[in-house]
This record gives sequence, structure tokens and C-alpha cells, in this order.
Amino acid sequence: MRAPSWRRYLRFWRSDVTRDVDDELRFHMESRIAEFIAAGMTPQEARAEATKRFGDVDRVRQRVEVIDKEFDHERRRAEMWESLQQDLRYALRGIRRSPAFAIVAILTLALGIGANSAIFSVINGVLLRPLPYREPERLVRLFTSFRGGDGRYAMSQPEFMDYKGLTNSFENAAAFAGAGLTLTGTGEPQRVRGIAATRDFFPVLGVIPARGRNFENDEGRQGTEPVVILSHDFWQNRLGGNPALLGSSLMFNGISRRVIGILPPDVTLERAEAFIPMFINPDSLTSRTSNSLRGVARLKPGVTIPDAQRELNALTRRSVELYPRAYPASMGYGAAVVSMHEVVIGDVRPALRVLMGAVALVLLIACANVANLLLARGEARHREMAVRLALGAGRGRILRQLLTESMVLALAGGAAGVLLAWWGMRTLLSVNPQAVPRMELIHIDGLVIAVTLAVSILTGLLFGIAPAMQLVKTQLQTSLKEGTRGGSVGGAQQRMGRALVMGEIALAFVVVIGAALLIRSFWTLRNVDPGFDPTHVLAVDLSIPPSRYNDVATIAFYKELVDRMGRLPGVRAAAAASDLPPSAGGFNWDMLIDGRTRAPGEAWPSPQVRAVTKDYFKALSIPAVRGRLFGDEDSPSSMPVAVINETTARSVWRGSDPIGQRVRFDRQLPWITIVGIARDVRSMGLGNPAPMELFLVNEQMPVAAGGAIRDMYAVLRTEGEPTSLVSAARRTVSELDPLLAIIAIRGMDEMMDIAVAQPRFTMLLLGMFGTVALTLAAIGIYGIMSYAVKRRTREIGIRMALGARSSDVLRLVVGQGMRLAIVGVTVGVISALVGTRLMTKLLYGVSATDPVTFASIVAILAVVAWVANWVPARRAVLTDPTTALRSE
Amino acid sequence: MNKPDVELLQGTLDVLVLKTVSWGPMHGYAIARWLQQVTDDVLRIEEGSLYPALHRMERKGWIASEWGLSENNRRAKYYTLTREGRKQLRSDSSTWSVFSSAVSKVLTTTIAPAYLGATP
Repeated sequence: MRAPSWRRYLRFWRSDVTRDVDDELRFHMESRIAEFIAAGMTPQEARAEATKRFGDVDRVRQRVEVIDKEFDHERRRAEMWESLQQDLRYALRGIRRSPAFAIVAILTLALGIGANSAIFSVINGVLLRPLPYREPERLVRLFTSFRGGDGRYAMSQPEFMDYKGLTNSFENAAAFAGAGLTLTGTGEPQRVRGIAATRDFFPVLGVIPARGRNFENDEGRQGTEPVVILSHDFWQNRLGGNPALLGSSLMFNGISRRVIGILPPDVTLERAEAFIPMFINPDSLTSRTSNSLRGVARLKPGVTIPDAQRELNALTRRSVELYPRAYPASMGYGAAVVSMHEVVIGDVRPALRVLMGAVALVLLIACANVANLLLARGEARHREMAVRLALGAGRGRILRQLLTESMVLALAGGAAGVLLAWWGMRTLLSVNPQAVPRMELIHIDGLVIAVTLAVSILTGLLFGIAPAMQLVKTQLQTSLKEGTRGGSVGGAQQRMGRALVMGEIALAFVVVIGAALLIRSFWTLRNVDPGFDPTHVLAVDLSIPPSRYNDVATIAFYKELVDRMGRLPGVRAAAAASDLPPSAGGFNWDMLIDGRTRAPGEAWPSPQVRAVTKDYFKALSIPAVRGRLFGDEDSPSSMPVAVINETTARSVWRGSDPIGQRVRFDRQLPWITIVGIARDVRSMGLGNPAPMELFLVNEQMPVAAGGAIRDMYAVLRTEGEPTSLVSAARRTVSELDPLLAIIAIRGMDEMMDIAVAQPRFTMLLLGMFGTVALTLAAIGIYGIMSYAVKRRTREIGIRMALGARSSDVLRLVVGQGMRLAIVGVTVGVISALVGTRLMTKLLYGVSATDPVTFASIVAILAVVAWVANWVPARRAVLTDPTTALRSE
Repeated sequence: MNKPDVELLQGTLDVLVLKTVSWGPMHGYAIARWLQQVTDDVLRIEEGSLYPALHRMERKGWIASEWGLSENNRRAKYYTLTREGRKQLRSDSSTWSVFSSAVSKVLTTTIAPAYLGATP
């Protein structure tokens, strides 16, 4: 049923349920009393009798009021719902009436909102989601630091024992190190990403194995039973997920290890698949300078990172005094405490920040565009609004209707945006899988949807409110009058539209500049001369187990492997190397120089030492700068020799000739003669200058360095496509040792790509956003100009009829639009000069205010703006003057 | 005058009120008066209980209300039967007839239950 119509008005000043009930009951009583008096009772008698007949008045009043109040609520809710439905119907009708407008608006919003959802999903997965450990905010990583480095170096055993044992900041600390493991006995030999960790590793992280147990007692010590803990994924996906595996044994590196634990599914520690125990014997620590350990610690409650850092600073200062031989003053030894979160995601944060800024700008541009569309559409609806206002519709109600329309558009745009984001992120991440850490955590989840919803609603308000206010503010009279001729209605709309377009151009400029700077920087990085030729090179990553190979066997294995590979058809040169550019790891070794003494407090130079077989330089096409490279004459029994790179020659020998100089790496080891200088290679990242490097002949390693390196790469320079040799290379390895797993086998081209995966990812994204921004801005300019021109068709017609040349008219109209563009670009340049400084960290080889980039983007925007102006202007000029005159 | 004191059965008041307002718009007092007249004051309705019933039925949508002027020019709340209410009245009256005829059959029968004779 419906409430009687007057009730609604009453409710306008809030109908008073209590008063109504009072009135009704009083009427009853008074009528009854009047009747009794008429029948002859005294007023007192009448009142008493009436009350008797009625019963308890107060109770009745109470019950009736309760019923009415509930009724009132129900009605109010129903009415609100009804009016919302009405608004929705109205909005949908409006949208249906102009589908082109709706589609453009929704697509625009989908681009703007989708970009935000996509970036937020990355931020959500990578930055916001807490690490899957107990109280992750108390977890820190421990490093050693040296003067001039990035402050994140490995620790030696004594250093770790210092940090753990001689401090009060940490509840507990553990050391770990990467361990290459090969699993045999389960079909093909498999390479497994392993970590060797001390007993406290899992307790520090707060990770409890889902099945089985943690390392105990002295496990890992020589002579104890070998054990292993597996990651959930490894157990599930590569071992079939059989629970009976717990307690059984697996062969790793030729050693049978009992499976004692399986981790919970969400724990992905450095993507390691198997964990073996590491035992640090406090009675026989290795040398202070042999750094291979990584550290993780849990801060005591209430201890902050700066507190811990201060304590370690004091500790390392004491160490420098106590062990002057290990820590020469010039080395600047120290320790660093870095939050775990920072270590995991630190590298991507600047990129994500820039991307977030860019998508916010893109969204603003999208909003400006849709607001513009609404403005233009509003003009057509002026009369409708004026009529409705004249008929007594409330301004508030009309505003609500218009905003409902904006909301519908925004929500539709948001929904399309989420789909776009989902699809876009999948595509991008599949193209660039190595670009982002914790990538497996990136997906569209509830939080992303919620944020998108919030962003959509905000967007709807942002682009909807101004045009709606414009419409409602319309002066009744003028609008009705003006509207009839469709003349110069809404100068205010025009002004607002122009302001929007200028803002849009400025915003687009900032985004496009950011994208352009990244693209230039990426190109510079990609075209940097790496110092070697990565095309036609196949790299095979190998690791041979120390259990089956002693030093001599290791050297023999690689010699034989390289010989066999060199004989494969299509191979020009084959070699083995302990590390490869462009992302080499490796060790810095202190280098003692014959005839030099060290001043107190001065460190020996410590180049990166690489072991290579004789054809290494040939395989990578690295030329000699002076002297000779390695050859057949360098055998295990001949004089130990070394080749250094240009950086080492320059920084260690400065002006003098290093050739013929002798160096060694320990007092017990023989002198090594430098026989040649090789060209510098960017071996540690394309964006970084070449480090000091020293190459030793692999066969001479036991003599010159006191041991052999088991993890090496075989590199093949091929005649044709290097990947065509993959299977031949695999066969050669398995012929030599069928139990050996190949870690990876790929072309060096691909390794170069991987080295720039993250910059490329950022560049692709920002490039995409830049394109979107530019397109939206162009659409905006085009829209406002074609609208302005359309309004002036009549005027243009008159001018043409009066004999104006079309080129004059064209210049006039285009000039007007270009003025907008010039103001917009000027504002954009100023904002960009400030804004791009924030992305300095992401740029390589190009300044954040690079004038060439700025100039070219100004030019590009100018051209885009000009075209967007010219097309509608041209159309107007081409219109026949007589039609133009009649056009309104 | 000695009148039987008849307690109203639950739900009966509703059908009586519906029937009453089916004659046309009426305020609460008129409904009470009319019910007394028609039943010769046999059904002693406590007049106060009429109002919660009225408001409850209004909320259910069986009757609608409107403020108007009474015979003696006073503001009074008039109730009318809605379509919904008319339907309700129809179904309630037929239920009531079936019920009352069943009750009177029991009360007026002269045939004793058959198994009584078989009792030992």
C-alpha cells in the first residue's frame, strides 16, 4: 500500500508519530465523554465510564506508538530505495540515450582505473603484504660493509659469531648461505636451489615445519647424520607430495640425506627448495676475511634498527683495533643492519613509487576527460534541467540524479578496469617474469577490488561534481531564453572545459616525460658497450659435487668438457669460466704485489678473481689491450700466469706497466706473473662500470689459488643460432657424467635481457601509461575543440560568406586551441622539472631534466594538439556557408 | 440488563474491524460504536484494544488511514479498507463460517460418540 500523499509533505517537517497517536486517542475519549454527557451523566461520571470502557490508555498509546514508529522506518527505507532505483533508472536511460558518450566515458575510466588497479596489485603483493614470518617487523638482515661499497656484503664465520654473541640487540641470529644441490636417484639428475643454514635459521624467522621438525643439536657437523628440510612446493611439485617421503632419504650431491621436515606452503625463502644444516664450530672458525655467510636476526622487543646499528658500530670499531691485519683502516670495515622487508623489496620501491605517481596522473587525466564529456553533454541538457527546475524539482534531487549517473559510469569503468588490470598484469608479468621480487604474490584479490571500488567512487565524484554543479546552478530564466536559440549558452562551461583541457595537457606532459626519460635511459643501458660480444654465445651453468670430484678431477672434468664441446660441429670456440658477465657474482681476493709493502692501515687491492680456460677471451670476443691472453703454453706445470683487465691495470699500477709484475693471494701461494691486459667488460650489471678483475688459468688454480672451482659456466661461441646447440651441449655433459644436473642453459643474449628485465618492466609500464596519457589528452583537446568549432559554425559561415579565406579562418580557430595547448605544456614543463627529479634513481645515462627529451616531448605534444585542433577546424571550414548559416 | 461476558477469540477482532470499515471510511470511535450497536453490546471489546489492531493492520496494508474532519468538525483519523484488506476479509469470513458451523454442529448434536457403548 502507499501512504496517503499528504503524509509525505508532513514528513517533510518530520511527522510526529507521538502527536498523531495522542490526537487519535483523545478524539476517541472526548467523543465518548460527550456522548455520555448527552445521555445525562455528569462530566465526572462520563470520564470515569469512558476510561473504564477504554482500558489502560497509556499502555495502548505505547503499543500503538511502537507499531507506528516501525512502520515509519520501513516506509522511509522503502522510499529511499525507491528513489535510488528511480535515479538509477534515470541514469541508465540517460546512458542508453547516448551510447557513444557512455562507451567513450567508460573506456576512458577503465584505462585510468585499470592502470591504478594494476599498479596497486603489484604494490599490494610486493610492498604491503607482510613477509610470511612471525612478527616480520622485528626481522633484520646482517651484512658487513666496506668503504665505497653498497654496504651489503657477506660475513665471515668470526664476524657472524661477533654479531650474534657479543651484542645485546638480538633475540637470536642465524647464518645461511646458498648451496647448489643436485638431486639424483629420482629420474634425471635435478638441480635444486638449496640453502645451508644454521640451526637457529627457522626459529629466528618463526617458521615451523608443517611436517616433521627443524634442525637439532649439532646437525650439520662433520660426522652427524646428513639431513634435509624441503620446501612445500618442491615436495609437492617435484617429488609428488607423498607424505611417506618424511623420514626417507634423498641423494643430494652424492650424499644420502634423511628428510626431517617439510615447510608450510606459504613460506618461500629466497625461493629455496631444500635446506641443509650448517654447523659453525666456535672452536675452529675460518678466517675473518673469508666472507660467505649471510645473516638474519630477530631484534629483541623494543630494540630498533638504529639501536642495533649503534651497537654493531661500536663492535666493529673494536674489531678494527683488535684485528688490524684483517681490517686495514682504509678498508672502512663496518656492519649493517637492514630490515628484512627492505632487503626483499628495496630495489623495486623507487620504480613502484614512480609508477604509482604516473597512474594517479593518468587517472586524473581520465577524470578531466570524462568531466569534459559531461560538460559538453550538459549543454545539451540545459533546457531539460531548466524545465525540471521550473516544474519544482529540487536542486538537491537533480544533483543526486546527475551524480548517480556519474557513479554508474565510474563503477562500470572500475569493473572494466579490474578486468583490464587482471589481463594486463598477466601479460606483462609473463613477458617479464624476472622483473619483480615476490611476483608470485601479485594477483587481484579482495583488497585490490576494494581499493578499486573506492577509487571508482572517488573518481565518480571527482569528474561528476563540477559538471553537475554547473548544470544545477543554471539560472532559470536566462537558460530558458538562451536555450531556445542554443546561442552562447554556458560561458561558464566553456571556461571550465578549457581549464580542464589545459590541466590535462600539463598532466599528460609530466607522464609522457617520465616515460620518455625511462625509454631513453633503457636504450642507453641496452646499447651500452658491454665489452664483449654476447651474440652467438651459449652458456651452460654447471655445478659438480665435491663428494665425487676432488680438485684434480674437477679441473680434468672441465678440461675434457671444453675439449669435447670445442669439437662439436658449429662451435668456434669453447671455454669454461667461474663467472660470466653481465651479472657476475664472484669473490674479491686481497692481492699481494711483489715488491710493494703495505702502509699501515692500507688495504691490499682486491680484484674479482675469475678462473677461466684458455679460450675464454676468444669465446666472448674480448680483445687483449696489451701483452697476451692465455694459450696452450699455460699448463698446470708451467709458470702461473694471470691476465688483468684495464680497470685493475689503471687503479693498481697507475702509470707503470703491469706486464711482468707478480702478485699472489696468500703468503703460502706462489707468485703469479701478469702476462696481459684484457679489455674492460661490464661484468657486474650493464649500468655499472667494470670492476677490477683478474683472470687465472683454470688448470693452474690448484697451484695459484690453492683449490679448484666446482661451479662454472661452459661458454660456446657458435657459428649460427646458439640455442640450436642446446641438445648437443646437454648430450656432451651427460656423456661425461650422467649424474650431473645442468642448472641452466641459455644464450647470452637472453642473459643480457634478464640483466635489464626490471628496467625494461618499468619502462614498458610507464611507456604504456605515457601512451594512454597522450591519447587521452589528444581526445580531450579534440573533444573540446570540435565542440567549440561546432558552436562557431554559424560565425565561420558568416565570415566565409563575407569573403574570408579558409586559411585565415583555419588559422584563427586553430590558434585559439593552440593557446590552450601552450599554456598546458608550459605548466607541464614546470611540473615535470620538479617531478622527474624523483625518478633520478631509475635513470641511467640521462639526466632527469634532459633538455633533448623535454624539447622532443614538447614538440610531440604540440603536434598532437595541433592535429586535434586542425581536424575539427578543417571540417567547419569545409562546410558550405549556406548550410553553416542555417546550422542552428 | 445482564449481558454475557464474551471474551474475543484471538484474531476475531481483526475480521470484525475489516468488516466494519468495508462500509466506508470510519474513525476508531465510530468503529467501536458500530460494533457495539450491531452486536447489541454482547461482545465486550475493550475499546483501547481496537487501536493497536488498527495500526497493526495499517502496517500490514489491509487498511489505509487519512486525517479528516469528523461530523462535529474535529480532526479525526479515518480508516478505509484497501484491496489487500478486502481479500483478507473475504478469506477470514469464510474461515470463520466454516469454523463456527463446525463448532455449532458439535454443540448441538444429539448423537453420542459410538465407542461409549462399547466401554466395559
